[in-house]
Amino acid sequence: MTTRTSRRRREIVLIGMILAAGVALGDRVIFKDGTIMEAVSIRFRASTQEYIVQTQQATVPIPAARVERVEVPKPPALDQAMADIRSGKYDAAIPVLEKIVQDYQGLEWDNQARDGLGMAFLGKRDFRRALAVYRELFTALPAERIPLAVRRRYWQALQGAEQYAILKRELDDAIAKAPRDVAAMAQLMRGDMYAAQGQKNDALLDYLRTVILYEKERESRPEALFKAAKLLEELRDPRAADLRKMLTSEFPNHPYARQVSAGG
Amino acid sequence: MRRLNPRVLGGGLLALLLLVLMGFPTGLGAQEAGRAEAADRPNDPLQRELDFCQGLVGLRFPDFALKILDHLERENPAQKARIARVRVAALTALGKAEEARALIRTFPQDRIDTLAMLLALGDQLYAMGRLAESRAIYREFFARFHKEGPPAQWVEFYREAAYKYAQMMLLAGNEKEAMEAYDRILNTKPESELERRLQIEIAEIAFRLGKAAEGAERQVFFNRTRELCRNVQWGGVDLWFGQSVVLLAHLEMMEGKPEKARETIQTFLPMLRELDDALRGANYPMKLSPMAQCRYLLGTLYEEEARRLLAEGKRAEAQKAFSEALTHLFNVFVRYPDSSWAPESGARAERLAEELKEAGFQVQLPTIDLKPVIEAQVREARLQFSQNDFKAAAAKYRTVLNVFPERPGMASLVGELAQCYLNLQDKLYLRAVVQELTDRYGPRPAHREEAGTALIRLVAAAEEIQDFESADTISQVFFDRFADHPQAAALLFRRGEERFSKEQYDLALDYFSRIVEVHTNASVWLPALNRLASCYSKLGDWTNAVEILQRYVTEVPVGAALASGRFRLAEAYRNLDRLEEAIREYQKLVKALVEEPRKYASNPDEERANQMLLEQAMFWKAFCYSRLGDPPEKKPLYQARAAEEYRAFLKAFPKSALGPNALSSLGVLLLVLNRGDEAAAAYERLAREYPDSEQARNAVFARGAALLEMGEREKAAQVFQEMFNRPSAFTAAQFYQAGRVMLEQGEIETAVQSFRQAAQTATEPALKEMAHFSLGEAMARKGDWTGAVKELETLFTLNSNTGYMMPAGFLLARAHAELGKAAPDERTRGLHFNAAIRALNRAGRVIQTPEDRARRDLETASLQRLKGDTDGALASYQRLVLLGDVQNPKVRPYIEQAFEQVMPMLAEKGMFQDMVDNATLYLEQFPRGRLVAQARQWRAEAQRRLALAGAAEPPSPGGERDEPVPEEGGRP
Repeated sequence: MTTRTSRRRREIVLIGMILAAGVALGDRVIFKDGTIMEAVSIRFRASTQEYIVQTQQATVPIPAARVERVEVPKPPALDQAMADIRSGKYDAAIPVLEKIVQDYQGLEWDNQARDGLGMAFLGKRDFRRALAVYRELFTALPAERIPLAVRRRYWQALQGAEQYAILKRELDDAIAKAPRDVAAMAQLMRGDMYAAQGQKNDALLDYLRTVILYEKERESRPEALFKAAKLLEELRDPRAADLRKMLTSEFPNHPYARQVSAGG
Repeated sequence: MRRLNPRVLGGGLLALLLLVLMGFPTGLGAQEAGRAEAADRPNDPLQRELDFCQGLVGLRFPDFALKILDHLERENPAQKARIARVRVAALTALGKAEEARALIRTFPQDRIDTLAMLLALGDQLYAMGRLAESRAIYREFFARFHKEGPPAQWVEFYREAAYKYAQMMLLAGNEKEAMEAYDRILNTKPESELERRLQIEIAEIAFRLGKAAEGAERQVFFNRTRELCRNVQWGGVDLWFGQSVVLLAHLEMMEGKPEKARETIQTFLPMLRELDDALRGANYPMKLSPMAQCRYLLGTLYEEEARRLLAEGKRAEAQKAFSEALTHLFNVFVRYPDSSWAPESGARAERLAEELKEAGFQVQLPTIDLKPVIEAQVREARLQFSQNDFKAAAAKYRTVLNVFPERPGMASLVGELAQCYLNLQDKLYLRAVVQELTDRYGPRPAHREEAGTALIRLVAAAEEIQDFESADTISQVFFDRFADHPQAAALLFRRGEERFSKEQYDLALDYFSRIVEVHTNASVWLPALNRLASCYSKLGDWTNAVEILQRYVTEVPVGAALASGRFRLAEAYRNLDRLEEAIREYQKLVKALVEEPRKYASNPDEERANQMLLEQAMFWKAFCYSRLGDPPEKKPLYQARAAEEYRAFLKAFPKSALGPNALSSLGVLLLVLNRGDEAAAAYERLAREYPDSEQARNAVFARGAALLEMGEREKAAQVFQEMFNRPSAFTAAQFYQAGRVMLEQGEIETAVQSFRQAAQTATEPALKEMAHFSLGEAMARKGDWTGAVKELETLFTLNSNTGYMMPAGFLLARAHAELGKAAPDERTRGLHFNAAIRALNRAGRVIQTPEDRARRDLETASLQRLKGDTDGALASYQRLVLLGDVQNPKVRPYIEQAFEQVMPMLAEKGMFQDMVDNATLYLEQFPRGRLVAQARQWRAEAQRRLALAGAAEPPSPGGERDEPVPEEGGRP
């Protein structure tokens, strides 16, 4: 009879983990090779595409091509501007965010500010300006660093500006090639586009596919379940009830689940 | 914790596992009772009849079943109770539940078979969706035993009823009532294994109810869960014991005590290991072990704990917790690859290891090979598929695909998932899954070929279950999206052949054209070219047939196929009246087959076939010479040449079936060339060698017909005048035949004269009818509608059930409609249109085939138009366009005609959306139709008008654009 100890020995055992080196303080430049430079201040010079980094010893220019990212303190006005957007005060937020974009160019916060500007313009239904802002943002950031929600807002700007051909092409491309979380979101967006054009069967296929084969994409799943259930109900398909049940049991506190529970 | 003797454990375990594997034993429902009795009476004729009636009910013929049951009851009065069981089912199926209940009440209520009937009624109501009534019956049943429980001899029956009811309630989403039903079984003090299983099932339901509840109510449910789990745990170590551990851990997590949950599992882990060993020792499938779930749960709990510690900056402690998490997760998928927890464990471990590396931890792990896990899961899915359990197989495939998407081999699994939905005939889910192959896997080079192959297999699966609609749809998707697939050409050819065999030549065209245009290197390219030519020939599209055959004869190697191809090319030229080109091809063929016969045949069959081709080629070459007429001054030369060719033909093939034709034509030519003696010799030979031929028996007619075909109209008229000058020398049939030839050649007046003569002199009723119908046709051709009506009415007077009912009815309707349209006053107009409708109805009486129905719809629409009933005509055309059987090759031409007629009408009425929809449908259904270009124009115009009117237009499907859309900017 084997003992517990020997059985345990037979199990797969993990060996050692080492703490990562380095602790961050103040402004920092993180290079592509992984090294980090502490700085007193950093600014970006667009004309030469360089970061002008002031350390305790000297001020040095560093080509942007060598830099993975920089870390500087958050602009003080950013949080308030974002709060203004959330409460619908777009006109108050816009000038603040435009200044941040200007003052923090190349310093990461400009991109957040751009996203904020995009949200503000979307809120004001000024889709052209929203589109312009997001196009700048997409130029500034590599694709893999663009958060899902930002990408979705860009697509919404395209839809609002009625650039359907570009939107469809982008969505088809994302569905085909982007990481699965992005693809799932693109499927929802494409479904919305089809639904808006009265092509409900095509919309349903996109939502349903997300439900069936993208279960792990939690950000998209509640919406996919909700919208697929709605369209199935229009077709008097009894599976609408199953999908609603899945929504309320998997995401009981999600707004879509609450809408379903309230009879929506 | 009490430990059981391993032997007891093993024995109890065996029993329990058998219970699990074989399901809850089903017992005596009404049908089962019947079957049990049937088993006792294998040769009972009454039982066979009852089984048959039960089958009728199942096939939705309860009324027939009742008739038989009435008869059985009369014959077997003593078996009323047995018969009543099936009668109850039949009555319920007819919606007569009350009558069924009344019947049940006539039986003693204290008998088990009466109660079985009652519950069977409840089951049937449930199956029909009448849940409330079903519940009422079951509750009434349980209420009988509420105080003292069922008597001993009824306990099994009671338990089975309660269990079945519990399942029904679970399916209906009523968990509380399901729980009550299980409790009823528990109250009957079942044996230990059943008791433990029930306790766990109730505990699980209570847990779910607790999760959905709040406050005190939640606490009540959770307390119940806890209590039941403890009961199970006290009872011994088995699978239910394992389940109880998992449940308790989940409970503790729900109460916000993850450490307690971990502790619970850790405490019971040694016992679960013993259970594992017992399972392993007895060679039971390890997926049954609760250890997999427990360790998965432990793994996730440790992971959450580790993340919490990391967030608090406690890296060393976090490290330990991550270690534990990974250890447990690893063990699940390595030691239990078959379990449903393995995929998630493996994927989670992989993801966690990656995250840890990215976070700067150095992680040394053995290589994570998830292949065994994936293979184990896929094996199970395929086993379920092979057992026709498509729902379970689909669930398994989805698990694998969601946990391990986009790895090598996954595209095939997506295809297999699609096959599950195909077999379940769930078209919606099928399309959604197919879209994953086209939109996600297809565009990726690493998966593309596999995705295409998965679709091909799906097409084959659809054909196998005879779901041809799905096979067509999926094939089309494949061709559109995977045109570069190595097997695309082969599948195109197969689909084309299928259409060809069903005589759907216009649809077959599409497939063969694609191969010829796109897959020029495919091995099926030349066969496709050949078939394409055949399609055009069958459709009478000689222009395209010529083009394709010209290409074919340059590509095909020398042999029998080339001989056949060249002959067909010559025939196509002849049908286009391009006689000189036809003659050239016939000549090439004749030369080849005469001078080098061995080059064109490799076996006796091909030799025989080539001889037939040679015979035909020589004959038709002569024929073509006889038809040449330009320039007129060369005509005698051509005719002389034709005579030579006919002689050469007759010399080469003296016994040919075409001999009479050749001799007759030769005689005519020689007459025309003023070589009277030679002509006489030819006619004499015709009479001698072919005395029974039509040409010999009807020499005058044959001469006249031949002259007409040669374009010698005046000479033909003189010959036919001979017939009218000496009518007694010719039969009514000969006059009729002459009339037909005249009509075909457009000599209407002479045709009328011939038919009239035939009608007057015919003695056989059938010939008289033929003559009058043909007179009607001739009149209609002349536009003499009054005359047409007269002749056709005469026909119906001669025989009200004439074989010409349908064509004469349609023609008569048309004639009356034309007269109605031109009528001077409303009354006359009304009379004629009413007569037209009567005529149509008369034709409608003999309609049997779909193509006749389609024609009737078309004629009705024409009549309505002539009457000025535009809306009616529109509806009639639309019925054909939208609902006509487009798969039927004989109906297709009518659908196309209806489309052609209705589109201008829709335009006139401003129904532009209908125009767009119709045009789109036409382009899908008739991709090579004669109206394709017109349909596109109509659609574009309608879309333009819609846009002007400001209506939303969906874009043209299939990526087509009828108009360019201006775009701004470009991709960022």
